[in-house]
Amino acid sequence: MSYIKAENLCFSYDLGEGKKKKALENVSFEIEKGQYVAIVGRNGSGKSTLAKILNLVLEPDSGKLTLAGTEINDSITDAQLLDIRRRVGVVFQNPDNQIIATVVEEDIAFGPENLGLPPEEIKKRVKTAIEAVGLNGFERSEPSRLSGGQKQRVAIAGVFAMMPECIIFDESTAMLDPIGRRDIMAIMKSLSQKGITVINITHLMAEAAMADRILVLNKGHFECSGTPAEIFSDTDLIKRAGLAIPQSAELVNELRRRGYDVGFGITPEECAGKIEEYYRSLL
Amino acid sequence: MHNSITLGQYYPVKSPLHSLDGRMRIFVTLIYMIMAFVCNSAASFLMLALFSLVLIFISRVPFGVIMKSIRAILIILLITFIMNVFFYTSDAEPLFEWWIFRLYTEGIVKAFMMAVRITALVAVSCLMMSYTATPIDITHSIEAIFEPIKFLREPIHSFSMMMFIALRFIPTLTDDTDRILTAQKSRGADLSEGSLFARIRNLTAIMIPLFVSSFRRADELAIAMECRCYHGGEGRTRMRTLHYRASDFVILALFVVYAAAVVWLNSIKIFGY
Repeated sequence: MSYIKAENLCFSYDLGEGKKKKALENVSFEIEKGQYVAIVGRNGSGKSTLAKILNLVLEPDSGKLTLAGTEINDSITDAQLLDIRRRVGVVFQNPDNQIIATVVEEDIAFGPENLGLPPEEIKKRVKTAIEAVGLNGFERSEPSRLSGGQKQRVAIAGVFAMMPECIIFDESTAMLDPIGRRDIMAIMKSLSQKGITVINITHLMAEAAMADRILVLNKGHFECSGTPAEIFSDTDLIKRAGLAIPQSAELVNELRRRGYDVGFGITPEECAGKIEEYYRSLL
Repeated sequence: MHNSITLGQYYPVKSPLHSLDGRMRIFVTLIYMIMAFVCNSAASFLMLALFSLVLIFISRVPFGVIMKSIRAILIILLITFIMNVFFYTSDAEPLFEWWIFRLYTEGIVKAFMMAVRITALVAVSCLMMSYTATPIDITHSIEAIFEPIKFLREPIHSFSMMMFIALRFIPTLTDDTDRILTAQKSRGADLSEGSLFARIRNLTAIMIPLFVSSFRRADELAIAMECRCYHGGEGRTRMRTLHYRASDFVILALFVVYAAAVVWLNSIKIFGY
């Protein structure tokens, strides 16, 4: 059974005066446990709405959502809801609005404290979480004095300390500089290697390329899903969904279109390797 | 953008008063305050002043820093002193008489005592609640004190969580204000000139965006807290548990001795006061 299953999710925003704006229409997909998935789409594709539905902030108008083996519906109890929230953590875009305490380790302890764990267990988890995001030595720092990337790492540690099965990153790198973004991507990778299901909702294709699988949303519809190589080499799809693919991937796509069979590549290093390989094969 | 705003006026040094358990802190401060009002003889006021100086000495907070908090109430102090001196009436022979004013020795002594009491109260409450403790420690302690009282637990938890978040967001909102101020100035908003009325009206250009941004922040924070399983104080534990240490009881003993001394000294009169 899949870990997250969405069946025909529909959602529309109420604009008042009887007007509605459709944000999601019949979106269906499945995510397996332990997968590293990126959900991509341009502005207005419905990915933020989908993120809010997965966070259980918004309720879909129709359709069925199953999270961590529990179907989300009106009959769900508070205890079940709490259990799902523990198992499926979320890291948001703005670190300033998700850090609660004024000391790093106390913020990380916030989640475990809410779970009612004994103090010794909380301390142990905080320590593990700090190590997992590489914030050693910052335990007693004030989050407001950290860089954006470090703050976001605090937020990740806060979720990690609840020992979740799945972490949803809702545009978590959008406010970061390239260095902060690189750090967060590395942490996503390591979380995925620890067996945690990672879902990265992003508009940056370079980030999506790191995932095992990409789900593409377009104008509120589920467009398709596939491996990064499959998605980025489909020039038609890229145009249709309005994705800005990495320039290196665009280069190899263009070369291929002009009849040079260089294969597929995504990252600059990979593409350079492919082109070099092709060039050598011509000699 | 880092701002140097510090919450409260915490003075970061190590001392037995800094490491005092929060619940004990509130308790001993209460003892101190009650005894400051119990004082009524010259000897007990001397004790009050002396004990306050001892506390400042123990705290290792420089005397000049404490003086800053007293300077803020200098005018109030002066007004109370004058009021007490001039409005004291007695059947005794006045010390000095001119027009409608009659000054009595007792009035001057009483006014002096009142001034000592206010100064000591302000200095020590600032010392105990601000210079040696962070506001967050204090909110946590208040929550811990009410913990055993079941029907108060939830409202006190909500209140202390609100205080905690309000304090936590002061630096964030200060940053927001700076940003909005700069943005409005760059659009030609003139905030420092014009009549008082015009300046107040111009302030809306800052207040409205600030309100909007803080509501948005509050909204996002609430969602983030919910996503981290926050569901009120019910069934919540804390990583840092408060526990009393030996030094806390030494401090408590000090305050008890002070309280006993005040009661005893109240019965001893120096020159009839």
